[in-house]
Amino acid sequence: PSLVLKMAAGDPKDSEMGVVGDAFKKYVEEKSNGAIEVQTFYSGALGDETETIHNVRRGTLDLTCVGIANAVPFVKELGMLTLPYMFSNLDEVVAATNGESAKILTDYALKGGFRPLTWTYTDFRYISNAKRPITKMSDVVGLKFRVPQSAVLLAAYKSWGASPVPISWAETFTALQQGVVDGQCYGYIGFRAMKFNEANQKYITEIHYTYQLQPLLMSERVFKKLTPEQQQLMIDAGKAAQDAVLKYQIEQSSKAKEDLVKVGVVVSQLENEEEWKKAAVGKVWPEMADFVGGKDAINAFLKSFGKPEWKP
Amino acid sequence: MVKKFFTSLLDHFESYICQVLLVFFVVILFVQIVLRAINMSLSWTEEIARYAFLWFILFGACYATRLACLNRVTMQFAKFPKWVTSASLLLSDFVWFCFCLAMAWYGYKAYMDLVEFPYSTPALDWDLSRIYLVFPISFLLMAIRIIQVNVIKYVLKEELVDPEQEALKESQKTLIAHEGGE
Amino acid sequence: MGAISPAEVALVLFGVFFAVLLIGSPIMVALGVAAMASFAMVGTDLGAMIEMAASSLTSFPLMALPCFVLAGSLMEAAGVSRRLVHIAENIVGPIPGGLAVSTALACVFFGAISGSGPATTAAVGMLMIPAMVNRGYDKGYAAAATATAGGIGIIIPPSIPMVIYGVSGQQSIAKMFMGGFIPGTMIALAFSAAHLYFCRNLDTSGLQRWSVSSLLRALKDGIWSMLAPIIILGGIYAGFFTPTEAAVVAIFYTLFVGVFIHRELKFHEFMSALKTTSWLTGRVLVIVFTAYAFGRLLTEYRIPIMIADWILGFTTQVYVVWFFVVALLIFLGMFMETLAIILLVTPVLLPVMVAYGVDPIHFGVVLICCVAVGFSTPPLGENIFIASGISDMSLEQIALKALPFVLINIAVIALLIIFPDLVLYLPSLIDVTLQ
Ligand code: NA
Ligand code: NA
Repeated sequence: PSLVLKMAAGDPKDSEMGVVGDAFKKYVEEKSNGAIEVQTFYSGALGDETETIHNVRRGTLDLTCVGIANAVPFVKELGMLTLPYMFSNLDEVVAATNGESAKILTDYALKGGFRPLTWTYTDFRYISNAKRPITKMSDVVGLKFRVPQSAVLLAAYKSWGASPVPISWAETFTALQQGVVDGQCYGYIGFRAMKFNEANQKYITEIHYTYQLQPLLMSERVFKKLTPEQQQLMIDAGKAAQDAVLKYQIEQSSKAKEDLVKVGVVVSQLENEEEWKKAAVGKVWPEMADFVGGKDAINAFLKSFGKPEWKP
Repeated sequence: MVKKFFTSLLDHFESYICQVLLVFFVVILFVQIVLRAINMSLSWTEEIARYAFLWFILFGACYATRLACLNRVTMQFAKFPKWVTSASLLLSDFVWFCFCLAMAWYGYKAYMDLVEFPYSTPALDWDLSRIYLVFPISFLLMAIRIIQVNVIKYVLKEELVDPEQEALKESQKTLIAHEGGE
Repeated sequence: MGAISPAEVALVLFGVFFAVLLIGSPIMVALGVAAMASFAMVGTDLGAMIEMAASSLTSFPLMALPCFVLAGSLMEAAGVSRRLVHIAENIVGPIPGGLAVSTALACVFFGAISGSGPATTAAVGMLMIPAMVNRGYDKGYAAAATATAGGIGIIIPPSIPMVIYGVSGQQSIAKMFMGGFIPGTMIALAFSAAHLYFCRNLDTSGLQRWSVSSLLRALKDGIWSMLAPIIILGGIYAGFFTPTEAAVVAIFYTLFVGVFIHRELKFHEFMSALKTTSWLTGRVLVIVFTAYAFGRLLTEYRIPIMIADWILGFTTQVYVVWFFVVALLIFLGMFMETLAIILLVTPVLLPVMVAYGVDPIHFGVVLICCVAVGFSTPPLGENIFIASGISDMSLEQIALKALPFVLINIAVIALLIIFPDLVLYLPSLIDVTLQ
């Protein structure tokens, strides 16, 4: 191959990131007739996600697939995607990561020196815990939940009366296993890949407060060095990977859920999710609006995928 | 007297920084455990502890450089005359010195990059570039300490005490004092 | 980008590393310069070194290291170690070789609160070496018995080297800790048996008789010291804190006991513990980032897989591979520092061993046992240095007397390799799977 592109990913190969990586690799290598090779490195083999973004920005790494929370410190506006109840279902998520909305997000990201090629669909971050099925808000009181270091997620948990504990990803499994924290939040496929059921996580509640998006970022410095044809190939490959992961998400998420139910995980639904939504939106949105670029920026984004304006 | 005070302060500069940082992050981590136990976790304790730790390690390495106690392999010199050993060690310190200058330079560039494209730390919302200042500062300091140690060794011809033996003697003294006290 | 082959990268990486190491540069520099040279060759901007330093040196689990070192120094000053040794002395009666057996036992006790080999040797040796010499033991033998048993300190949890392995190999530190219990105990038992044999003709007259009352007195006096391991390890497995935080709890527990219960901890001792911890951990942890850069190149160019394939070309027999791995580790242990070895070999050997179907925790514990042997092998044997400082015997004399114990230790390692369950049984218990 005349060009080798290296891609880092924080999650293991049998996760959504693996689907994105493999689909992207396959598309690029086939369409370029082997002139471009894509090497994938999963499970943080090229460093933690923050480090890979630094390197992508610098141009020493070509591609990286990261959780959205890790990209927010680089480009605060991307934090919009993590606001609680920004999306109420998968259709909204898909609409917000294509077309006009995707262009808005790409423009923000470019200010940070990277270009999102794909938005990986990683499911709603369902809440799991070791203690009891959660169906109403009083159930989370007194439970400790591991959350990523994201001010937005932290605020959401607090608005429900739960105790969020920021714990690094590296220590999450051990912390759950030993009961340092009672629960965590991750989609079904990720839950299955991480084997959280082996870390006492017995109860999952389907709550839709945040949809986990994981952009595949390409270094803008590297992108600019490519020929126009190669640039187009990257964009097309990103699109192909995005389609592949959406298909995988829809098919595998229910499969993963079945697998988990089979090994004894109990899945519950909320009695009244509107109540949760009201608490989180009412508290977190006004608090974090300025952090993610202000009311106008949020409304411009909402409008781009057909959601009503937010009036605090 | 005042002059002596300042030279001593300069000579142990990193040591003082390290001691303060060590106490700081140990206390912060303890507070974190206690707060978690009473369901009052703070989001920023881990982050601030980790940054204090980064500064602690790099200044600790400078301090270790000043004490000339970084781990090296020296058994290959056993069969050579003393001047060969000295010459080789001088060369090795020069390599180390260049390594430090390179790290300081790239540390400075990384700092400038962060000034241009800011990164605000997730929990504290701090500007990461200030944390990154530790790279140019500590590696420059380490380069200076390498020169200092070689000046002490070859120009002033003073014997460098092994801090490990020193520490051992210290604790032996303590122990004897306690045993005798019973 | 470009077409530089992994073999070329490996050549530059290892070539520059050994060259810089041999002229006498610190290990940190040798690893760093080798990584820089390789990055420069493949055209990676060297600024990546800074990102690697920033991400590897802010790793939360690594904070366990200064905390355990500080806790260890404070335990000595707070009188915790001394009381543990007295209990061990009182458990074993006035039999020939009894004091040497007590030494091994004391290392197990102290190992359960300390994460470091040299710290264990110092704490136990300062009391037991003079005691043994007074009772007619050969001075070199007494020093060797302590130096070799000191290695148990890193096999019985908590253990700093296990934390480092867990971080660099991305393995569960809690499982590593569990895995160390049986091997540590086995080594202590094997040493005790050897002492009983070697010292069978030793005169025991003049030894204080074994009595329940003096044992009870030692236990009562040492109750707070005995509680320390229970709090540290119990707290980890009961879920009050992570292994990293356990070290912090150990510090505060020791401060509490030293100031309020034993009333032995002086302010200047506290300050000197801070100072020692600073340079001791600074010099070790700075290796972490250059080793991380070195390991990154290995991963990026898939060099361990290349090495594994190459070895697989010779043999598919896992025991043959184990043989060479243990031989390599014992050899490296002779002249390299423990943590540096772990940081260097983990990224290379772990993928190779996994390719041979070895469990990462099994490999990790065997690795820790092998580097623990290195504490008492010359020319660089940290425990021998300490034992020599205490006993005023030359390094060679102690090293020679330590040789039988080194061989016994290797025999135990062989057992651990042949029967992986000795290591893996306890960690498997914390794999709580749903019914
Ligand atoms: Na230990
Ligand atoms: Na050795």
